[in-house]
Amino acid sequence: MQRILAIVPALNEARNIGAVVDNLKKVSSWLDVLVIDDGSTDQTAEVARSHGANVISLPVNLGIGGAVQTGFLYAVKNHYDVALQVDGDGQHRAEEIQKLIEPILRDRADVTIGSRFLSKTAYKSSWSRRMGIYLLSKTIQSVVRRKYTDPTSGFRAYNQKALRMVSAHYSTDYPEPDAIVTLIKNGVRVIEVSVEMDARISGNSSITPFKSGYYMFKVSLAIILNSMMSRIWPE
Amino acid sequence: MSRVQIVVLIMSILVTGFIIEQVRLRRLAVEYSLIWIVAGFGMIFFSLWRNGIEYLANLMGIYYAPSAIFVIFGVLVFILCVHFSLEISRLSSTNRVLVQRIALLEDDLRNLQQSPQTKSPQIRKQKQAAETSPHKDV
Repeated sequence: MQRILAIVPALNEARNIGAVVDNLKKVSSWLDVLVIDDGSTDQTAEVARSHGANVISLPVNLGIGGAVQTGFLYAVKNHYDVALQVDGDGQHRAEEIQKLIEPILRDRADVTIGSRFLSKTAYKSSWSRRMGIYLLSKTIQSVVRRKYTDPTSGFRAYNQKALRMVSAHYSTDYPEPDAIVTLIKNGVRVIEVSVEMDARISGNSSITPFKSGYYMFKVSLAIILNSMMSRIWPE
Repeated sequence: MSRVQIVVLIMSILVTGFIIEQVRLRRLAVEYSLIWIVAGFGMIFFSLWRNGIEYLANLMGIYYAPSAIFVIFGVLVFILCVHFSLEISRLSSTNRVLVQRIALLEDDLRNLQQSPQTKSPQIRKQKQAAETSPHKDV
């Protein structure tokens, strides 16, 4: 029996986190749920605990990358076979986890990414967000010579090999796109799986339109720099 | 191309190359390298486009072009200093929180070790060692 951990990063998600944990527990009873409370100022940790999740509360806010990496470290330390990241805002459906972990359990991939755009799904988003995702996708394609349709998706699963790598090196701010590049450059098999996603239950995404231009610039440059970086463990 | 342009170009390329190499070796974090890379490419750009500085000076209403360089340089250094001050403030506040959290955890741990209900032989052994230790404050 494979041991599987769901890592749920959450920052001030007291209104959503209960439903997210309940869904995870309902759909897959074999899943251990670990909520990483990234220095929330509301009742996120208490709510998650009362719904039966294991909660790690960070004493200071580290940002999404640092929070998720705490989960990776926990997974490595506790010898989980597979760890998956599920966002705490209710965007990711628990029913889709099976699709995400199957290629890993069959050893067809080391990392799987849930994609909204790989095939036509019901997901709707703004024109500008689609444009941003398309540009990031093209930037990644130009450095790794493979197409990833949804590089900002945080709905991912990792096996032990990939976990050892991301627990050692994971960028802090908006880590999803450049993690793809770092993993591939280090010989990890990263594939996309088509999944359905929902709009957020409540509240706003962490990326505001005001910051998105700067975000695009920063992430594109980070992708290019990551593609030039030395290997994490040179053979 | 004038001699000064070549000197500036070589210097800019060296600076930018150094920054990128540090990022490549994972010694400099990507988020802190961005401003230096942008500044480096800006220097390369203006060393190639000689009239660029004069154009900028004209745009800013400065009659003597070299003083525009000082204005731009001053603003850039100012922004960098403010950025670093913000960063240091954030670091010192998170550092304070971490120190406090560790101290509180140590206090919890000490209370756990001293409680009479402690069953674990390992913790009891640690407790005995702590009592017999001549360094009371350790």
